[in-house]
Amino acid sequence: MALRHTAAVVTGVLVAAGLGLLAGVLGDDDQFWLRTTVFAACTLGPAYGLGWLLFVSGSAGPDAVLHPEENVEHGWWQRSASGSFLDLLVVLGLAATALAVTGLRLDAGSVLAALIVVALADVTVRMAVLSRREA
Amino acid sequence: MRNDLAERRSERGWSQGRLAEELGVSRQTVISLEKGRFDPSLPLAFRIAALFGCRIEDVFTPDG
Repeated sequence: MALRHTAAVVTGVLVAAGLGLLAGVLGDDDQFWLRTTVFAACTLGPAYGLGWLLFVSGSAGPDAVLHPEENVEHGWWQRSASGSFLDLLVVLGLAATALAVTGLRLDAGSVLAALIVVALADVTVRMAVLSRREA
Repeated sequence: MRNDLAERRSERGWSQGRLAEELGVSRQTVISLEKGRFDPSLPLAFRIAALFGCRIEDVFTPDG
């Protein structure tokens, strides 16, 4: 178990460092270390999450089970994710229509970040509702 | 789907956690199963039947 957590941390550090270096190389020459440090620091959390997902999730810890795919929680997650996907399609369709009608131009980075927040919030709310209703 | 999982578990003096361990699923899954709020997959239903030494239809009864 400790080995898996270590692998998750190492993965997180490596991925964050890689992204930081990439951002530093692709940015202004005189701000290499600043960009590298800021990007590495900001991506460390999600990068560790990736490592946790790969090495720890569902396979370690006191609550680990032999058949996680047959848990009721797995069903809640599947239903929440598929519902969130359909919601996201609706949001994307409405947003695309609104942009086409108004001729408004938005920053792609901001739009993508907003969509990630919407999707995460949606799936979280759906999970919470399902677990309250069916627990 | 209705079931008599709680009765069968009680007869053996098992906790929900023990049954979950025997079946290889989470305790929450056993809770939801016993309340009839979660229909198990076929492999899980077979494991439940095998664990209690009976047929699937002895444990689970369709609603209506």
